[in-house]
This record gives sequence, structure tokens and C-alpha cells, in this order.
Amino acid sequence: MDKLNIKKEHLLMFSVFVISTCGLIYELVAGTVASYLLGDSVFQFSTIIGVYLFSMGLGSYFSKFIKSNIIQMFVKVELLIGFVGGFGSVLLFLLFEKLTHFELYLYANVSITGILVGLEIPLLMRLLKDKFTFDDLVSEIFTFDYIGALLASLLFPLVFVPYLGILRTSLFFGFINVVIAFWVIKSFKSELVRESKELFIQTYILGLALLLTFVFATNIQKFADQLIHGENIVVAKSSPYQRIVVSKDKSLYKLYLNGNLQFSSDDEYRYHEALVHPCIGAGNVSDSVFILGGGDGFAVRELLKYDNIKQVTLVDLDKEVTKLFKENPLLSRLNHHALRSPKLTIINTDAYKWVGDKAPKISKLIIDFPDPSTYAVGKLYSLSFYQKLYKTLTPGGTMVIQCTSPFFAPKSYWCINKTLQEAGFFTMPYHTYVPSFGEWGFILASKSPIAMPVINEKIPLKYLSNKHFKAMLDFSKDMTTADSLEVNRLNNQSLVHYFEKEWSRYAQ
Amino acid sequence: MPNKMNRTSFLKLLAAGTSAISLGYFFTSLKNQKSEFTIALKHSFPNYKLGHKLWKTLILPNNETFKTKTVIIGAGISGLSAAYFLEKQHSEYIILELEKNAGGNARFEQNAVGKYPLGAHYLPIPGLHQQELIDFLSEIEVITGFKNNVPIYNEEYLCQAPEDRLLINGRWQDGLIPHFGLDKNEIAEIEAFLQFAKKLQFQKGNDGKYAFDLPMQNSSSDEAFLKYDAIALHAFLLENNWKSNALHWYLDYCCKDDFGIGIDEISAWVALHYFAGRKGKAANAESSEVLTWQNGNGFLMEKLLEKVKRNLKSQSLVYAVNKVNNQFVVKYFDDTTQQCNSIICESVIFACPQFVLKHLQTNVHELIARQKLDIDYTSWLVATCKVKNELLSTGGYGLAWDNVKFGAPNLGYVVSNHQEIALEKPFLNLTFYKVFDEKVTRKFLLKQNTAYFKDIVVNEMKAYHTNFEEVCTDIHTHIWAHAISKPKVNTIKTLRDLQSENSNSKIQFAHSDWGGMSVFEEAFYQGLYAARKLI
Repeated sequence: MDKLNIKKEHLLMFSVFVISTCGLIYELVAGTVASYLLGDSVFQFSTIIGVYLFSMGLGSYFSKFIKSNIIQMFVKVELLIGFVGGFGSVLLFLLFEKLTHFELYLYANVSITGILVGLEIPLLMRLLKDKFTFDDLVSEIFTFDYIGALLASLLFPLVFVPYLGILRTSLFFGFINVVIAFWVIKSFKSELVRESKELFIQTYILGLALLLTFVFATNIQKFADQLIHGENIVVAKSSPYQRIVVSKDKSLYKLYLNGNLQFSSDDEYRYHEALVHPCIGAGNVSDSVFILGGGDGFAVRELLKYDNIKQVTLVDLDKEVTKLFKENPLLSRLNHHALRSPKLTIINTDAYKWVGDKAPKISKLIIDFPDPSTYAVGKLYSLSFYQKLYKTLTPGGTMVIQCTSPFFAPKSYWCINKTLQEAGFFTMPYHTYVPSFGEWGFILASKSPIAMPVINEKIPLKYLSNKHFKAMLDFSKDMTTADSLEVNRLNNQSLVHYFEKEWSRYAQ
Repeated sequence: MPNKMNRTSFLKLLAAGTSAISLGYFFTSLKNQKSEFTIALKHSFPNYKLGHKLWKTLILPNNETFKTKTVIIGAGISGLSAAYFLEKQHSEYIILELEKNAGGNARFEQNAVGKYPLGAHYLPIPGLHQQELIDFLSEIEVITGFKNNVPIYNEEYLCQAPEDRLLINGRWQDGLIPHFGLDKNEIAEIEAFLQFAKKLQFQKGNDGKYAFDLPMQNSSSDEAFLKYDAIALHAFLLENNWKSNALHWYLDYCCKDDFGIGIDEISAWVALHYFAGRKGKAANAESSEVLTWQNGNGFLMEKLLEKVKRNLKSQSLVYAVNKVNNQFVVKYFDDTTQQCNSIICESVIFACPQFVLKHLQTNVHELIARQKLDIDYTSWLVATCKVKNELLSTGGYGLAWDNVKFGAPNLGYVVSNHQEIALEKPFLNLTFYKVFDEKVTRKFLLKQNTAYFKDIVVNEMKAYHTNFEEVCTDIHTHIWAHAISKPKVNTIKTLRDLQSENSNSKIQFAHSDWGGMSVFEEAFYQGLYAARKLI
């Protein structure tokens, strides 16, 4: 009997050590997950440590209300910690997108874990109180407690996060808690006669659940990563070039490429009418129009309103995008099935190379590239590219370019204008208001001075008129810049620098 | 009771079974993730087997004899440049080259991603006074026009932004001059040195020449500047009380990158050419910008080669040059036919490196004088790695053309397909450069197998990108055993004396070795001047 008692005491002392390691790990996991999901790590760690320690205090306080069945309670607490602590980070990841008050859940999770961990040590002390003198008990318990804490704080950043990842780390320690529970039940079987079988089953089930989740943690992580957009997703696919996501909210559709909003179906007509019709109404008439970019087919839809346009050629890099807007029933309804028109030829290739190598002489050109947010796209706004376009455009031909926002990014906008002029173009800058984008800019360009475009008002238009176009030519003071701007060249990429600086003021 | 026991043991069995299967699955999945990465390897080196035939005295029966006006030995940039200018004068010539392909250090190769250099890979924008170079660049349409007499460069050939970045203190910073995480004093010292060098850029000596110019022979003979040849750059820095670790690293990097030798050994006079020798000016670029192509200087080399290649005999090892009466007889071994031929000519341009001259049989006194010189060479490893465009990088500035790590045992890597204009590049060619230090002998390098060099590349590239091994699919390692001659302290004086002696002879020496600087401008002008003297 004596021998057995020593064994039990050692077991319990050892569990102090393991428990404190687990306890600190949960705290670190919560802090790390919160900084990862919410940012601002100083704030997250500080509040989480505070809440956690306070909750441990609460737990210690509550321990005095447990009067009997201390071993059974201890096992139950262990199992609960294994559950809450082990699955805590998994639930944090999965619920991040679903919950409106995510922080509330986060702190609730931290508090519950804290309270349970706070219960552990007082319960243990009471289990051990007859086996040691008070002096020894306090001394040893706290020694193991603090050693465990040190071990956890070293292992967490050096071993567990790099090798197991955050999800698996918390699942692993949940499992350790379950093992402690299992061990205690086994050792104290005699004192738990009635409850031991029930507790064993609970232990097995929880242990198994933790183990299975541990094995499939990678899939859970992947699943969590996919939940990016809040609205209902109609399409989410990756082409070799970009991530395409179309969301639907009631009758409103939004297209995101690499997370950037490309259009919103309730106001895209403003953008596309402003993009297309002034160019068609300026300079020489032509029955053949070319579009660079614009794989969504909206610019084509606008062009098909003209009976005298016989031929439209769309050059867009991404086959997935043109295919999607041609074949997807919801999306092709939005562009009036423009991409199925017999007048249309689609060429899926890199516009820069196409213009340099294969482009024929062009009289009407519509350029609808993404904003110049990367060096790769910035090249499509470079002097070198515009010089190639200058050789391609016919003398009386006109082209129009979408040029980002003159309000949010005036330097970027006027840098494009300056680069076009440097290439020899005459330009006519104009802008319009698109609610989901804000104030948006375009530039008409031609090799000869541009007379006022005449928009054919007989075609169905929701927004544009000749009268309104004249107002679009006026730029208020806050959409201009006094700075002298650089020409955007391949070797300086000034536009990307302007764009980055100007938009970063608005980016979250 | 037995029933209950059964349930418990069933549960136990179930738990044990599931655990075993799950753990097994987990460990196999770990193993799959870390499976061996296979990288296709290719290794190349100069044709030293043919070259080393010179170590023994070749006495072979003569097969054929040709006649021409000038024989050019070596088809690197200097030899091709000499030929190019002879061609312009409709003067007769034959070029003999040991390697299968012409181009010397400017050679290039190609893989599925595109062309990539084996060595030299850029040309800084020339100064307005380098008229012949500007004419050449205009002729090959690298210069597209002039604005107030200042060249306008083809924008696609100017190095596209972002040009370079440095990994320092755990972060990529913009530009190679160290600044991120440095203290104020170090930054001030670097600034002070650059100011000092900038002042020298347009300074002229008492002979009216620029203090520092390219080619080297155009630099001033004024002792006020030439005295820097007598001191190593490192000693020179200490004399001026420039002790910053970051400054020393930066200068060491620059000297190795351009001249293949570090600050401890390099003549300060040569080193200052890096900062003060170039006086680039362009209407559409900053003065410090460079011209570069996917195949590096292979682009320029091919333009020279195009005009002259019908007079090129490759795989031809010259082993004897003798003066007979008033003519020269050049004997060479043709590796394709395994026979020896002779060429009788009026003049010879030696456009090969100095170490090759040492082994030629000759009675020509100009050549004998040069054979005696003792010039050291550095060995280089240049490796092009085809990688999936999924490199993991530490934070800071994004991928640039030139990417260097502070304190690394290499010169970093260049993205060879940086100049390709495409919205998406699924693969990149990274060309990695490393200078071996003296202790690594040529003999040792030539004995090593492909795996040895692959390990160097993979281990050193991992310091740039932790997942390098996972994204890399092909590595082509190339060893340059005699890559670049070392411009040590006091070598320039000897070289300049030689250059002035040799003005009107029918024997001309044209190689960047003689200018002490293995750069395109030097080689180009060496060839041009040699050709001019013969016409």
C-alpha cells in the first residue's frame, strides 16, 4: 500500500509539470491564432494573457466549491481541458468567417480554458495534501509548475510551431491532457469504482477524436483558407494566371481577380458605357474594333449595340476568364451572351507580345487592363508599349485606356497621360463616377488632335449622353496634381510606384 | 459480465486500431511531403582537354596551308571586336577559336525557359565620349535615336525595374548599397565614400584625360591618380579611416562582381574604376543604369559574331606562331579533323587570355616578353537554375533582376528572364555567380563531379529561399577555371607600359587581361584599337 502511494504521488507531481506545460501552450496558441487572424500581435497577446491569467484566478476560486469526488472531478477537468484546449484553435480557424463577434468567441474560449487550468492545481494540491507536509507540497508543486511553463515557452516557438503547425500543436497537447486523465483513472481505479468505466469511455472517444483531427489538420487548414469572401460564392477557380471569384448577393454579382474587385453588376454599365462609346464616336469611323483585356465581355456587349461594327477582336491573356464569361449561364446573361457573337474573335495571348509581333493596323482600340499594381501589369502602361501602339494605330484611329482613379490616384492617372504624350499621342482625359469604384478615369488617345466625340444616342444607353460627356472632361482641383511627373518606362516603372503609394493610403 | 468485458476490449481494440492507422497515415503523408526532390543536372567547363595539349610540345605534320592578311587568335569579345572592325575595312582575316562556340565569357545557352548567360551579363550605359561604342550600339539598334546628342536607348534592353535588391538583417532592401538596419555612422561612411568616388568621376589629370576611364589605356597617366595602383583598396580605405564593415563588404562585393577579386588584393586604382570610370548618360535612363538581355552579353556578342562568323574556325588550337621573313606562320590543331594546318599572314592579333600565350611555340620577341608575365586568374562557378515561380522569400522588396545577400559566400543571382515581358512567368531562370577563393585550385575544380557543384548551388541558394530545393527543376553548372585575370596591386603599371611599347607592330595583343578589367567595354576597345593599328 505504501509503495503504491509513492507511485501515485509521483504520478500526480509529474502531472503538475505536464499540466502547466499544456496550460501555457493553450495561452500561446490563442495568442498566435488571434494575431494571425486579427493582426496587431502586441494587443492580442497582451489581452489574451490578461484574460487567461484572470480566468485561472477564477478557476482557483471556484475550486473551493468542489467538496467531494476530487479525483473524479480532476479527471473530468482534464478531459474538458483536452477538449476545449485541443479543439480551440481548430474552432477559431473554422469560425473566423462565420461569426460576427469573433472576438467574443475568442475570449470566451480563452476564459474557459483559463478557468479549467486554474482548477487543476488547487485540485491536485488537495489530492496531495495528506501525502506531503505543507511546506514541501507548496514548494514542489510550484517548482514543477514553473519548470513546465519554461519548457512550454521554449518548445512552442522552437519545436511545435515550426514542425507541427498551430493546429496540430493544440491538438497534440489536448491529447496529452487526455493521456493524463487516462493515467489517473487507471492508477486510482480503486477509488473510482463506480465511475471508472464511464470515464474510460469518455477518454477513449475524446482521445480518438483528437487523434483523427490531428491527422486531417492539413485539410482543415485548407478548408479554412478557402473561406475568403463573405458573400455567396458563385464561382471560385484558379487559372494559371489568377484567382477568379464571382460572388452573388441577391441579384448583385461581383467579380474579383486575385481579390481585387473588377465589377459589380449594378453599376458596371456606367464604367463600360464610359469606356467604349466616346472612343467609337471620336475620329474616323471603323467597322473593326479591337479590345485588349476585358475578358468579361462587357465592352464587347457595348460594341455589339452598333450595327455598323462588323468585327470585334478580343485579346485577353486568360482563357479561363473568357471561357467563364462565355459559358457560365449566370455570367453570360450579364454580358448579353456577347462572347458568343459571330462577329467576335477571341485571342488568348499576352497583349504586349501580340501588339509587338502579330497586331494588324488598328483604327479602334479599347484597352481595359487591370490597374497597374504590379511590375508585370505596369509594363502594359509603359512608354515602350505605347510606342508599339503608336505604330499599330492608323492615322485617324482612336484608342481609349482605362487609367485607374484620378481621385484616389491622381499622380498615377496623369503619369499615364504624360507617358501617352511622350509616345506621340494627342490625348483627351475624362472621368466618370462608378459607385462601387468611386471616381474613375479614362484617356482617349489618337495620333492627331482629337475633336469632341459624337456619341450615337440612338443606341440603347443607360447612362451616357453627349451632354454628360462634356461634363466628364472637367477635372476638379482634387483630381489633378501639381507635381512634375515621370514618364512610365520599363526601366523605372514609375507608375507602379505612384500607384502603390497613392492607393496604400486607402488600403486597409 | 463477460459481455461488458467484450465491449471494453472492443473499444480498446477499436481505439488501438484507429490510432495505428491514423498515425501510419500521418507519417506517410509527412514522408510524401518531404520526398526526394529530383533536379536535372548538367555540367560544363572550358575545353581544357584540348587546351592542355599545349602543355606538351606539339610536333605534327602540316596538312594544309592557308593565306590571309590577319590571324585573330581567340573569339571572345576582343577577338570578335577586332574582326568586326577589320570586316568594316574589308580587310582579310581568319579567327581561330579553341572552343566549339565563340563568345568567351559572353557565351550563353538555352533551356525550356529561355536563353541564359554563362558569364558576363550586362553593359553599363556608356559615356558620351565612348564614341565607337555608341556607334556600335546605334548600329545594332540598342540605341534608337538621339535627343540633343544624348542617346535614347531601346527601353526593352535597359534593365527593367526593379533592378536590384539586397538581403540584409533579415530583410530584402531596395538597391545593393547597404542601408537597412545599419547605424547612422555606417551609412554616413558609405555615403562619404560614394561622394569621394563621384567627385573623381569627371576629374581630369594633367594630360587632359579623365582620371578614370574605360578602356584602361584612356585613363590619365597623372601620378596623382596612378599612385592608387600601388595600394590595395582595403589598405586605401583604412588610410582614409573608412572602417565600416558594411562599406567594406559592399566594395568587396563590387570588386568581385566586376573584377573577380576582393578588396584585400585589388589595386585601388582599378577598384575606383568601378565607381568613377563610367560616365553613363542617356536621354531616357539614369546614368547608373545598365543594359541587359536574357542571354546577358551574349546578345552583344552575337551581333559582333553575325558579321564575322564566316571567317571563324572553331575547335582550333593554335600552338605555334613564328616570324618567317616578313611574315608570320600560325600553326593550329583542328580538333574536328585531328590535323594540323598553317596560316601564313602579315599580322597577328592575340585576342586570347595571357595564360594561353605562355604555352605557344614562338620566335616573336613581343610575344616572348608577354609570356614571362605572371598573371593570376580566379575561378568561377556560374549556375543557371530553372525554378518554378514559387520562391519563398523573407519580407521586404520583391524579386529584382539582381539579388544579393549581405555577407554571402557568393555574388547572388540574376533572374535571366527578367527582361522578358510577360504578365505571368511560370518558370524563372536564376543565374548564380560564385568566385572561388585561392585555396580552391583549378585542378581540384576540374576533378569534381556534377553533384559537388549542385550541392554548392543548392546549399547557398537555400540561404536566399528556404524552399529552393522544392521549386528547382534543373541546374546547369558551368566552371570557369581561368575566369578573370586578377588586377592586383601594381599590375596596371606593367600593363600600361606594355601597351605603349606595342603601338605599331604587326603583332597586336587585344584582350581585357591587358586592361586589367574583364568587362565588355575593355574587351571591345582592345579589339578595336588592335584592328585600327593594323589598318
